[in-house]
Amino acid sequence: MALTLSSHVLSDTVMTAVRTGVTSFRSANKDLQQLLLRVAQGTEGVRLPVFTPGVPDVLRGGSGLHGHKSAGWRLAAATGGAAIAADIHTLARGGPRPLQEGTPRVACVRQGPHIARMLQAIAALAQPARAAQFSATPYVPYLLIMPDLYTEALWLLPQKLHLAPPVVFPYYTLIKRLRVLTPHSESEFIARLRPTAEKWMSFPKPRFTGHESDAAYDASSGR
Amino acid sequence: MASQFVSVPFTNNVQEETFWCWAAAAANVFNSMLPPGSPDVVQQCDVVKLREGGDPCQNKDAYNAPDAVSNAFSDLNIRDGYPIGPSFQVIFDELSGLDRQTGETKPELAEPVCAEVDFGQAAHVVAISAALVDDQGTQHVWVEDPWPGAGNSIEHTYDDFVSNYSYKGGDGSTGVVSILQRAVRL
Repeated sequence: MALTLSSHVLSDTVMTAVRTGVTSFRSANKDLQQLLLRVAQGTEGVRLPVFTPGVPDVLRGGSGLHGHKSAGWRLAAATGGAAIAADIHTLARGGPRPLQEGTPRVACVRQGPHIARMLQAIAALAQPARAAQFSATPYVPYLLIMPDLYTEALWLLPQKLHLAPPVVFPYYTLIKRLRVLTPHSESEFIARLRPTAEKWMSFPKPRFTGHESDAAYDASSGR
Repeated sequence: MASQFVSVPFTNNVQEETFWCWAAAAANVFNSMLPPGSPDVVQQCDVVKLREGGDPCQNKDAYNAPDAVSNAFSDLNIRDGYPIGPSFQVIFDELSGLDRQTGETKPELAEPVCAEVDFGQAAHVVAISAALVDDQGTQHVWVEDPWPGAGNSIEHTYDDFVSNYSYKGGDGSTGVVSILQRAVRL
């Protein structure tokens, strides 16, 4: 019997953001835009809420994987041997066009082997041979994106938390001691990341030798 | 409004060590500005060696440490000015080859730009190889991230790139992109 992963349904506001947002991306032609809309509707591909624990979270005494709110969604699908994803951000946005936290928008369209690896990891979980590594209870999949720890992983929470422990299934990392496509407990996963987090803490923050002001740039370019 | 798109050729090799994003981005920028077939290609460990000395090509682990991409650009003699705050106009001007003295655009002056991303306790460096202002006026950039490396296309809205690259940031008060570093051809 294969592992059962439950599927997420997007809210109307996220659906609207996808519908209005993907057309702005040159990387996605009309066919790919339609594909991303079908992913959003749930008829193809995957929809994963994104969490981004970082360096402080995996240090001793840190909040671990459960200390953050969702930062958005990743919608992804395979397309003719390739892979495409739309990243939906819901974080607050600063700058000249600020947005309040919780406002969904398509922030990014990604294509290539990095997204393919994520889809292959989900496919690997569906293989019957994997079932023995998991509880028979259905799991809800989430995505861990940890760029400061060079790791992305599927985070599988049992639908009924008391029936089984959560599982972390990394699919891409630069950390040599962390094995991809191998189920880890949360504590084991954090323990594998901790030395890299501790090493980050041992470095001084980069200090730059100078900083040209925007006004200086404008002056040098004649604006 | 008509859309405007600018780009430069770019090869985005993956960073070879966890803390070598700065060396990878600098080597990728340097190599992407070389003429095709040039023998002057640099490796990431060559960039680290310029900064740290020693022999990082033989013992990468011992030299696995972060640094500022501006320093690497200086060592490679491709630094154009000091780091500058994030600005879509700067990115667009650099990618289009704007001659800041004459106001003309010249293909031989078109260069990628590096951005340093501040994740709080950690930093990351990416390059930008293309920019678009679409017909609605929305600004986009193509991010060349040495963490996922070659073959990946990342088209990002500029506003969310600066504010929340990789779903980081959060309170909206400060963006995650701290500086841009312009490049100049040898």
